[in-house]
Amino acid sequence: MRIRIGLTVAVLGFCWTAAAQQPFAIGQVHYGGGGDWYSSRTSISNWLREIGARVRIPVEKEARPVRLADRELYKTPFLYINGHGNIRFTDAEAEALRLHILAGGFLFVNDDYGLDASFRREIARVFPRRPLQPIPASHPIYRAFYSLPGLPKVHEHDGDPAQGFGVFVDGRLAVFYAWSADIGDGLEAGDVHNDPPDIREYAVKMAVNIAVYALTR
Amino acid sequence: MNFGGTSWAYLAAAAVAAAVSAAAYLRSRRRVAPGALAWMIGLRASAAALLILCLLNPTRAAVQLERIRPLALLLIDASQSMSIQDEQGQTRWSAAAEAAQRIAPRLEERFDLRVYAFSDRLHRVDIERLGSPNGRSTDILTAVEEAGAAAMGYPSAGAVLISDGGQNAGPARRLAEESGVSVFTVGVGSPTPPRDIAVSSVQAPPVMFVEEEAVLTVEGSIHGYAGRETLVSLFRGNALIGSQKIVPASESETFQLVFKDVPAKEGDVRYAARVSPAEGELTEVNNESAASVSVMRGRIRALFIDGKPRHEFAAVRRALSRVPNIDLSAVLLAPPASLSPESLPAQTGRYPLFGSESVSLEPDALSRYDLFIIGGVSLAQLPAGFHAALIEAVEERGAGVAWLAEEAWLNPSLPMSPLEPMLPVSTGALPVRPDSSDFMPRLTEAGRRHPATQLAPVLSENDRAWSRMPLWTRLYTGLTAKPGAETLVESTRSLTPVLAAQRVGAGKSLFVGSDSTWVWGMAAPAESGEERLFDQFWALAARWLATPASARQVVVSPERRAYEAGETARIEIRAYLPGFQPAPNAAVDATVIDPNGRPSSLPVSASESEPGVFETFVRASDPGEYRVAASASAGGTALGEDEASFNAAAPQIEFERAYRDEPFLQALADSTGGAYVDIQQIDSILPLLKEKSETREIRYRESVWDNPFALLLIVGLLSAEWALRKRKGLA
Repeated sequence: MRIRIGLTVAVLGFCWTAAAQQPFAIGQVHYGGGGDWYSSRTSISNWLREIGARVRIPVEKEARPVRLADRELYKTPFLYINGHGNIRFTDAEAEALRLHILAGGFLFVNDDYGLDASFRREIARVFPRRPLQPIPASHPIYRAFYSLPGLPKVHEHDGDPAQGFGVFVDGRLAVFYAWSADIGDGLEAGDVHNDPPDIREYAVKMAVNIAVYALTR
Repeated sequence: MNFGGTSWAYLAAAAVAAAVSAAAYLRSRRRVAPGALAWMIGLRASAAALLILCLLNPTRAAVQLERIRPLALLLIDASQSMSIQDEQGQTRWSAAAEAAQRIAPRLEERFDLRVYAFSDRLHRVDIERLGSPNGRSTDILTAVEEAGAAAMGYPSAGAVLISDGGQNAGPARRLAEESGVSVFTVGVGSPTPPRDIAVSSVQAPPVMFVEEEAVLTVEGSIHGYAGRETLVSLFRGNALIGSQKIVPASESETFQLVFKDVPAKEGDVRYAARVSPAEGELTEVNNESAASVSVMRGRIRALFIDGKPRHEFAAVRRALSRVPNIDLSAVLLAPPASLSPESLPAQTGRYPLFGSESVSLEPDALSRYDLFIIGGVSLAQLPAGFHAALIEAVEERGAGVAWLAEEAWLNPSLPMSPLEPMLPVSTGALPVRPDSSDFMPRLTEAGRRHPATQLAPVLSENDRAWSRMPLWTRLYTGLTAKPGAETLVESTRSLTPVLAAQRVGAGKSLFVGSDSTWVWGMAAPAESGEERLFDQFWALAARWLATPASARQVVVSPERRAYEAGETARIEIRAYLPGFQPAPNAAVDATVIDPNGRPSSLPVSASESEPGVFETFVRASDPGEYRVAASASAGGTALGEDEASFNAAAPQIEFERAYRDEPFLQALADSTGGAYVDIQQIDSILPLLKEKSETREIRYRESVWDNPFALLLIVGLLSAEWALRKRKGLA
């Protein structure tokens, strides 16, 4: 019996074909308040491409712009907030984001420089009883695909060390905020910000880790 | 005058007959005076023509006047509330029957009389044999409408309706003014609410788990015992779980008591809540209520294997992680080529993500799991020996396996896999691909009673939960349920299985036909800590899968675990051959033991749609526990036996508002042009019934030829013609 099963398994090995699954999408949140929510579109395309190539999962080619009050927001579990200016959610948007995350959604916020104060204010409105917590380097998000020592420091900004913060829901890291790191800039092509290749690679690895973490927890 | 048949043909025949008669004379050689000849021809031709005309069945219109007596209806409430003894020492039913039998002869003197008994339905009865009040509910309006409809075409004297007025069934609607019958209502019973203590229900989860605390809720009401202490006790079988005291502050109160229990072993358990009878209580029938519950094994050790990071993996993992008492190991297996050299944690050909160091897929390690979830992983990626170990775990040890549809394993080599027989679905042309359009999942009849799909404790609430489901997407089409498998949920659009289940040896197998059930979880958000239906489904599915089906080849399953006395329970019996394939030709015997311990055999019939499935029906006449046992054999070889139980609760609706509802009876009478009286004054309504009879014209057709005169005329004509011929020497 074991021999027959073993032979069958061997045959199956030759017959295995690459399978298509639903493409991974990144929902770029169109927020209010005047901040440039639309910035770094090419970095998202690069990010998706790197995820597809390295994790070998189907991905969409471009960012998927979403508004938090969209009725079909639930079809895009992974949300991304980026920009340099002010963020402001309406009450309906704050409630929609809260329910989205409670239902299993994930939000990654990249501090491009200048959104820290407004994001902290808005996320406190979304989760008034769940304050942002520092994410230690031992957290699984830094080992979801690549084993990394912590966040990359892509841009200097004010010279503060890069630090991850997060909101937990039922023990799951559901909101991840990369402060003073600027992973988004690290995902751009080399000639956009002239970042060194090793820094950009670090940023890509961290960005892949964030996506894989969201797709496995 | 009318003629039957084709008139011109008969008239032609009469003419021919007359012509032939004349010709017979004209060809005669004897000479006869022309006058005599004319007489003879005329007589014979007339006789022949008359005969032919009689064949035409001539008729004439006639009118008759007929007097029709008015029709009186006598309707008597035969619901259970009529058994209450509050009518001057008599039961309401006895008082009603006596009154009805007293007025019936007087009604018959003046009217045609029809006597009906009614409760939740209407039926004609003999006034001398009225039966007993055992109807489970009361629908007065429908009874009046149906009786009125049956009397259509008759002059109506009115309807005398004797009842306590407890309308508690039938669709909500206006009073029966359009029935055209004047209703004279006769109230019976006390108009003040009776004293009573009732346990109306025991709410229990449909499935409980060994050594896991479960909450049971007992509901009821107390009327007329303000300040009196009442003890409500809950029993598991005969073991007392606990008692709670209630001291109602007012004359009429409802109560809801919460009990907790931790069952110690697997099996069927009956929870019964009881109160002791109180002095002067309306009825003791409603002093107990019960619920039957299946208790399953507790802690589950589950292994979830998927192929790649994806939302489905994350969503199912999150849901399974929330199942109480589950030890979940989740692992992603990716083809080695997908790993970059720097990727960690290992170069082992997979990247385990959760408890990575402790997860082993080696065959010996699989023996610790009760549940396997196979996601988007190629079966070829699984280590050598995994397949055989999985088969052994499911078929022999009774573990469960859930298959999450994904192209990675739904590929052309699947039919060659030794795992294929464990799948509840058959694949057509492989590989199958998901349809990216949205679809609505619909619960099937099998799904309505399956433990894995019970999102609510009550059948109707479960139906509602599934009917309000958000749209799902990416259903794998081209799959059909295998013989012996059950489709629990199907797509409303294509009827493709969305969820299908089957037994596999001592274990179970569940197929999930969409690779994006996460959409359900995301589209139906809930507050943190709230029970999400998506999570609840996976908790139910995991527990059902992880509970061994045992090695029984005969499985008895009541359609529901709770009925009301008077209802009929459908019992499903599944028979399996030794390899656990359905046994469609099995000989199945079934018996039931009723709450009084009386056994009786049950007729069993085979399902036309599902091979190996048989059904029988049990009428639960009395409240209590019914135990149904079945045995089956095939080809002279015994397949096995099984038994299961269900509970029939005493119907209580009839005792909930068991006082005479005078306003309702008055309103019914007013709306139909009748009158309302107390049963003591029933004689006073007899003069009010309409005496007026109707005279109707009855039109009919009367035959003209069917009389002695026509015969005498024909005989006379022929006799005269014969006498004339004799006289002329022609005869």
